[in-house]
Amino acid sequence: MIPLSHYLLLSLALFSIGVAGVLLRRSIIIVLMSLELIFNSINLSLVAFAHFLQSMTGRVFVVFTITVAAAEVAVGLAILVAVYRRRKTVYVEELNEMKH
Amino acid sequence: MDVNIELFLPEIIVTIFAFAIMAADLLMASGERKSLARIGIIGSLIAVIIIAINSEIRGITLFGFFVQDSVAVFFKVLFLLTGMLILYMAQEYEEKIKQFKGEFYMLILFAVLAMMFLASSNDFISLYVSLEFLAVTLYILACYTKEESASVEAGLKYLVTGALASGFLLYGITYLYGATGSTEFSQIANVINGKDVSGFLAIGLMLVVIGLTFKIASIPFHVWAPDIYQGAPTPITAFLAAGSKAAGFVILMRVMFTALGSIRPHWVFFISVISALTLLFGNLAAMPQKNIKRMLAYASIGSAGYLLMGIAAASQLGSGAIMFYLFTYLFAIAGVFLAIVIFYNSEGSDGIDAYTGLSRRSPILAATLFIGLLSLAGVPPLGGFIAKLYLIAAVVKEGLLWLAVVGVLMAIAAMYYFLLVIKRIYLWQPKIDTPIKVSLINKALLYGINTSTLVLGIYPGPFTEWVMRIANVLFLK
Repeated sequence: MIPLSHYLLLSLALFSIGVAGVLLRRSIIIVLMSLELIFNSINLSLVAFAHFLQSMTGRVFVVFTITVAAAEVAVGLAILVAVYRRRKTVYVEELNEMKH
Repeated sequence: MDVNIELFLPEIIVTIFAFAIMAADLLMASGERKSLARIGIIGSLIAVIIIAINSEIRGITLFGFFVQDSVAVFFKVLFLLTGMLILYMAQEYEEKIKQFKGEFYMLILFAVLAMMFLASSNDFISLYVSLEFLAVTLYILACYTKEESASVEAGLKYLVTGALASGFLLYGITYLYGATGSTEFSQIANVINGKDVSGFLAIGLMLVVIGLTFKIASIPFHVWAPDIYQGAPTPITAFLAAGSKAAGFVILMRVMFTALGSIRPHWVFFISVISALTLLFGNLAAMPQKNIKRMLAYASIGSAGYLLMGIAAASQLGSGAIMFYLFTYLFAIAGVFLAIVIFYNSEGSDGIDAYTGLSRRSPILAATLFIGLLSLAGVPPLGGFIAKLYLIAAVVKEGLLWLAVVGVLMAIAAMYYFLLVIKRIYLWQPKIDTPIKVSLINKALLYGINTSTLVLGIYPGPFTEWVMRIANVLFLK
């Protein structure tokens, strides 16, 4: 049987890649994809914990996080479309209108 | 079935009224949309009345997801009050939004509903779902003025930082669940009581706190605040300042005191450091700002630092002080932002230099900004002073003297940048002399808000006793 630590390390790796993607990538579409990666890494560790603790709560929680993440990305893409229509760009560094 | 509808009747009322606004929006001509705000205000009023009638009913329902106690009741009244003031403000602001749709009011009411569920959350699952419910409505509201590129930019930045922060929060919850095998606050408290802090618990605790700093706009997730405060429609900025921050603190209180209270020695230093850094950053960065909404954003980061002092104190005095602070903060924010909306409607500018000589042009707007800003800065005899005094007293009592010193010094810094604005309003000559028209009902509201701030400062006695009694609930075992 695969031990718990393997699942947690995989989840940590995915989480770190996601956070790095959000912080470092220029394109907002890739930033939104990285956010999805973060949520999926969390789902993985939740299910792993639920399995090893023999508890239902974690599995139920995963259903909630999947639903919420979908709603969030739907709104995110809609806002992205509004930004693109207005600014004709999807690059993070060009969105700096309010610095002053 | 473990469902006791009496406990969440106010939430049901707010939901019904939110949908009623949506339905009414389809039937009404676009000129009559202001009455939609009135529907929302009436709905909130009915919910407040129901809460007042049912204020003695307490309990846990919906399978442990939902708790109704006096802390929840206090915050629900606070959120509904905020909602009413914001709906009124939104109705004043309506003409500034092209392509205005009635859903703006509906979303405000839904955000209030999400905050009410947050105040009642008793489990990490319900906390997370209501937190995201609130977040998603606020993302849409922040970028509602689609034709302004600042507003959509603000909405996008808010969404990306918000989703990242909820990722941290959720990852922390995962580890807390792994360490304790439960997501319900009281069960977590039972499991960790008297045990050593394991690695999972420590990681979970840290990530949950970091995730929650987004809602209250404190370090390390404070970067969104200036841009979003400046870019969002002004009523929504006020909503973020008064409502979203209070929602962040009610869940912070529940998580830190109810679930993780028994391991306070392990997190008190962490919270104190966050609090001190937030105080320093917010208040020092507010000084050079030229846009009043952006300046208030930095000031609101500073306020998060003060409120975190109450969390660090983790006592009845500290949490009572948090509630009192949020209450005075609501009145100060409502007054200041209503004045900003009225000023913007007439002048079309949020720049601080546009406010030059305002006292000659509109004494009531100038007086509101005077009282509101000084209350935010914490000048006696206004409400904000008593609130800051209680928070500082709470940390001194718990032996965190260094934090109290930072708090006092930063109160002086806050006085400096707010007084610069007030000097401009009162002592400088205006470029144009035309008076700014303030409608009678706006005047009455501004007088009411200013009087509340004054009364909370001059005669806080009964009110502080009340919040201290409520705060006691959090520490009963």
